[in-house]
Amino acid sequence: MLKKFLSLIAMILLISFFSMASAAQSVTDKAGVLKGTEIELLNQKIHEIERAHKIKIGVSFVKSLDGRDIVQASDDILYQNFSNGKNGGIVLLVDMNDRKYEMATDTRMLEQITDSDGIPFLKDKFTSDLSAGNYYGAVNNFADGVDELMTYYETNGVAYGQRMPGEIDPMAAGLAVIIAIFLGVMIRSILIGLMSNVHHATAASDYLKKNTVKIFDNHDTFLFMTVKRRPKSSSSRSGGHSGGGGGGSF
Amino acid sequence: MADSSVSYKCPNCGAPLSFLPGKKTVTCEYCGTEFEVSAIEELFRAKQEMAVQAAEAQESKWEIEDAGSEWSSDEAKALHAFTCSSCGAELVCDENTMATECVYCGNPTMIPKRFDGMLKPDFVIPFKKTKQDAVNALKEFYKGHMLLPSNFTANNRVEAIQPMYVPFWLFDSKITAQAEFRAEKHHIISTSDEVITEISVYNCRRKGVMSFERIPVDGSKKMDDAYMESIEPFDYSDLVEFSAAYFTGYLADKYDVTAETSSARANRRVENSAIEVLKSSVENFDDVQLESAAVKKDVGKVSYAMVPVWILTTRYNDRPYTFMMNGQTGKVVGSLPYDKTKAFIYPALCSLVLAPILYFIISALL
Repeated sequence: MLKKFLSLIAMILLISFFSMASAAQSVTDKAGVLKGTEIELLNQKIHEIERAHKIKIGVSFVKSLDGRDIVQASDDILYQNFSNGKNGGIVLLVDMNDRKYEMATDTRMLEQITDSDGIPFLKDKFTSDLSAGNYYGAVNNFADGVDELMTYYETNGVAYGQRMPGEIDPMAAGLAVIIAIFLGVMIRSILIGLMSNVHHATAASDYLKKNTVKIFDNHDTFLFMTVKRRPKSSSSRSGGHSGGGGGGSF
Repeated sequence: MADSSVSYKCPNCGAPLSFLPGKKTVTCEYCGTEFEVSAIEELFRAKQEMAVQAAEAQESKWEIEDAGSEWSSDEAKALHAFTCSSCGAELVCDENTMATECVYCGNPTMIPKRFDGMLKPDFVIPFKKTKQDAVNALKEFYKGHMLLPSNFTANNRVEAIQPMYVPFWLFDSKITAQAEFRAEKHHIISTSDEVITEISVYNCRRKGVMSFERIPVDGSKKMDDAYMESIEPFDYSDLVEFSAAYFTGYLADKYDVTAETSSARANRRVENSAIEVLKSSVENFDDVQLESAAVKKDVGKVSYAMVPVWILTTRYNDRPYTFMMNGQTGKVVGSLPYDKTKAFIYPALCSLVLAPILYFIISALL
């Protein structure tokens, strides 16, 4: 009995150890651009940020994606390893061969780090370091950027770049006023138009004897064909997930 | 001096006779005696002949220099004087008046000279709607117009609405029409990344014959063409052979626009309708546009008819506003004035209400 109990405890400890080991791998460097100590420091920093904001952050350097789509690859890493954060997850994937990077956010994170404002903010944080070959600095700044954006959201209740609750959007307000005035003018024209029902008759269909209509020449000749192509606008990323993200070259 | 006009008075009591809307007979409203239209015609034929002679005699004496100095020679030519056979008053009317009412004694008065030869109508649609119908319809017409000035209905003397027979040319035509259309069939294919639209273009030729019956075109310059076209259509099942007896108690004008001049309006309407008929036969296409058309009249016949109209012209802020009701069907047409203050406030209120709603919709979309 005691042996069984000890075995169970040992198994639980083993699972916990592997879970911790797995959780520790926020930064993976398959391209060999970071030193071991740098990876350790970055992992520590990212774990603190993860704990503080209850999120998951992943950073992955690869030599090459071997032709895979970088958007799809970043989504795969996110949803396989970093989508279990209570407040969402974010991944930064760097392809050293094509010198491209891509960030992917899940649905929950998209509410806090938006594609329109949050992703460009992060890009500004680390792109220059990536271009300069300062990969440690790039990841460090990326993590700082995520920390700042999460803090902003937790403090203000809205994502960075978004309007505060109750704050008027000048563009929407301007558009609303213009459309309301236009509709007002239309309503005025209609109301004035309703004041008269006098108009010229343009047709004599009331006086057509329908049984006298005989159409005896009826020819349809095909002339030509034209083809118009319109690209579909897609609101979701290539992977079909409802999250967000964005990337670029360095 | 012989009377130059004929008053239709009851042979029984001498009171004015009236053709009551919706009845087949001429009725004396005072003694209740009813007369067949043919009987009245027979009765007054001799009087009319005498009146014609008297009118001709008077006309021969009509000289421009006899008119008052304030009238121009053109105006004087257009004026004619007739003697009311009831009270002897001299009635002055324009050259187109066929029937009127003596302003002194109220007697319905005919001017038979106007019925002569080519001027005599072929048909008449008798009045079906009474004055009370017209007054009620006009009051109803005023309702529901948000911009109507508040004081307009108070001063527009609805009771002064007048019945009038208006001259119309009725055009019968059998036509051959042909047209070419450019027609398109759209086939839409949707792939994962694009929408492909294949547009097949066809040339469609159509040719056919059709007939139009009694397209009405008013033959009076005084009547606004748009008003006359707006009170259409007429129900020709009520069309009867013309008799002057139907004019008793009503104003009436003879035509002063010839059938030839009026035919251009009928032709235009026939062409438009013929093209629409041909276009409707171009089926199973997503878009059809007219390229060219030709309409040839094979047979064209014209008849002259008098149609019943109730007319009221009132003034508001020194501007005339005319309302007409089809005396047969009761359809009311007219142009109402609008209150400029209301025309600003109502749309402005709508804009004020719509602006915040639009703001929330746009904010959600942006």
